[in-house]
Amino acid sequence: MPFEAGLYAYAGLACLATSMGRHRPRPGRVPLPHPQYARAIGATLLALAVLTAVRRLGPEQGIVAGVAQICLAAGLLVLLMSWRQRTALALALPAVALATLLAASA
Amino acid sequence: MSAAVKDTARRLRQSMAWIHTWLGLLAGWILFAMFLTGTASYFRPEITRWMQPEVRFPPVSASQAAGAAVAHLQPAYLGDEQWYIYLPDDRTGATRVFTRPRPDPDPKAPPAARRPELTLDPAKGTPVSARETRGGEHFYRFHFQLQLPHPWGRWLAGLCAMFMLSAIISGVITHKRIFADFFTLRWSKGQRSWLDAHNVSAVLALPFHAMITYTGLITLVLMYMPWPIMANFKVPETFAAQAYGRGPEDQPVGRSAALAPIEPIVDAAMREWQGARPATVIIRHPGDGAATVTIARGADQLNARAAQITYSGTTGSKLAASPPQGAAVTTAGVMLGLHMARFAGPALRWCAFLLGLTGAAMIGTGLMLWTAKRRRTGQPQFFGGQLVERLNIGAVACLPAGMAAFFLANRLIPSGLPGRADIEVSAMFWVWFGLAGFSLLRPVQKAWVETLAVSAMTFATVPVANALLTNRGFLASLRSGDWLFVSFDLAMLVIAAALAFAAKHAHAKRGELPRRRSGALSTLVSGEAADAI
Amino acid sequence: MVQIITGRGGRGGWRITARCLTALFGGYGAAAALASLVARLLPVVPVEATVWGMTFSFAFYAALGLWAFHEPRLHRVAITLWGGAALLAGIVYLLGPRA
Repeated sequence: MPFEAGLYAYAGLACLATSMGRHRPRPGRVPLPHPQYARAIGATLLALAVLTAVRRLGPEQGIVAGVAQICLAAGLLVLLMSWRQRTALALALPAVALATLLAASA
Repeated sequence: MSAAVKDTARRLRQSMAWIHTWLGLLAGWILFAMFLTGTASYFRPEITRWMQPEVRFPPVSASQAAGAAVAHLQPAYLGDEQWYIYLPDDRTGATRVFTRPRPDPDPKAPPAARRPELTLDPAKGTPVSARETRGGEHFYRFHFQLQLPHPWGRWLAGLCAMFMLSAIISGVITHKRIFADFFTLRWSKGQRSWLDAHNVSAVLALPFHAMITYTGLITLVLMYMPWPIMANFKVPETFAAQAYGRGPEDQPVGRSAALAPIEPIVDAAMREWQGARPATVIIRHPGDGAATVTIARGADQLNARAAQITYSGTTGSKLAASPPQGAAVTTAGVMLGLHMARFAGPALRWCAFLLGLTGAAMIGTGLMLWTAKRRRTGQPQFFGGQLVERLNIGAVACLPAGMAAFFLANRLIPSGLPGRADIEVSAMFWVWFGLAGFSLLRPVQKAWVETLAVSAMTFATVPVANALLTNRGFLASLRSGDWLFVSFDLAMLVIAAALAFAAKHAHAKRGELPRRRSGALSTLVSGEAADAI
Repeated sequence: MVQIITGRGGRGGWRITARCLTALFGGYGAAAALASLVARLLPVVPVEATVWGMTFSFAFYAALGLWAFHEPRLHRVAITLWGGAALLAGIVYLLGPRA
């Protein structure tokens, strides 16, 4: 199933959240990137999300699917963050891994 | 920024906050219903298939289905004016045919009654007898006609869509800290939570909300905004002919001629489209020397204005193809395609479905916010507040019960009962408005809990009724790998669980005083309101 | 500001009623006339110009409708929307259809 765009988007948005003062969790076991780097990584991952969708579905439907999955990933992230903030943000790492695995096997 | 610019921006945010509130409130309940039924319509053919469990055929190729359908139509309907054949694809189960007899040349003769739709076995072409139902078509029609007489339903839906568009624009202008609040969602904090939920559901899916609202207006633009056509064309039909390739109706020559075999024609069209599947076959004047066969391409592209090729019905040679579309016609076609999402594969379709629910959530939370803002602790509410609260219950909590009742009625009403399709539709409205009427008798908090619980239970009953009254229950479907029926049952259960969760939440809030931030009730005019709506 | 729009300051409900009707119907008229004029004047083939006009008409309508509630002076709203609708429609009428 072509959901790697959504997984990349989830991780990218989690990075963006980490870069914002009010959502940045207190330092713990997982090292957090510096806010500026977090923002750059987040933006890169969001671009990657659209690119993977375009690669799979072509430019027209790829952009539509990419934007749709970014929106949904944002919704999922916000819901999870409102419930377990640290876990929600930490899930970004497995999300990237799974997305890369899916994209490579496609 | 200079002080004057800042003041202008503040003034703009205030007026936009005010109009956003009232636009949303006036159109909110209808918009909620339009979003919910429209979201269900993403699965229009799937719902129809679920509602006709008797119809169940293995997939066949397009040319085979066309050949089988024409073979069935040949003897009985030869001499008709037109056969309109919807070929089956991987979403619809059967071939559907609409036939139209040639009009009586005598102008005084009464117009012939419309013939009923034929449902055919895709492989054999034989008629299928299945329970009469509107299926997914009902939600689809309701979401822009609102069950009102033509054309008032469409005008009202269009007005509400305009309100929605204006509410989106004014909401974006009002909401000063879009990016700062992007990830903020706090639970159980009364008004603050409703505001967070409204912001989050609106902002995160903003591209979808803006797209679906604008493209929705575009679907009926010919009705809502025909004036530019009149500014350019003396005869409006010229516009249709040039824009969509709709030519003048051809006339029969009156000499009978055999219809050319249909399979090679369908195959030829597929070759021209590099294998893309045709969706419809339109045969005009079958059996006449001037017969034509028009093949329309399936919705595999963003642009919903599908390409068409017309062939001679007697020789099978290509006569015409739809002209290439200009930038504006293509843009409008893509907007249409985006709204209906017929191009979407299963994954993207589910995404669209979830985004549609986000839209319903945005409207629902906006309506809740209106009452939460104006609720004074420990005091009887003013009449307007009570009215809004009651209408919120009727729309948000009771409509789901009505939609589930539509499915339930499909399983409970005997499959041979005459007029059963209309009874199914009535069941939806009786349950919806009946439950809303009942909720008036209960105190507000109890009404929320009870109506949400009834909605949850109605949805949970649907898979049970399906298992008891058809041979396509959850376990049987799972065993035979029938993913449509498995997903449908699962979707019903997930919706039921979500509604039950909402009922539980509403119950837990009972007795707890709604928390408000300090400040007077009428914060509307204060600067705080501008970024708080 | 909001009090100016709603007329809460004094002379009652007719001002807000007039403003709503002007935004709803005057706004529609002005948007339709503007879209028609755009369609009539765009230097592309008539079909394309017509579809561009229709496509953007709802954006015009939304913008005009919202502006009607932003501008505090009701007479300016009324003159702009009703007058604009009449003026633009008149120009379209005088120009006549292209095809």
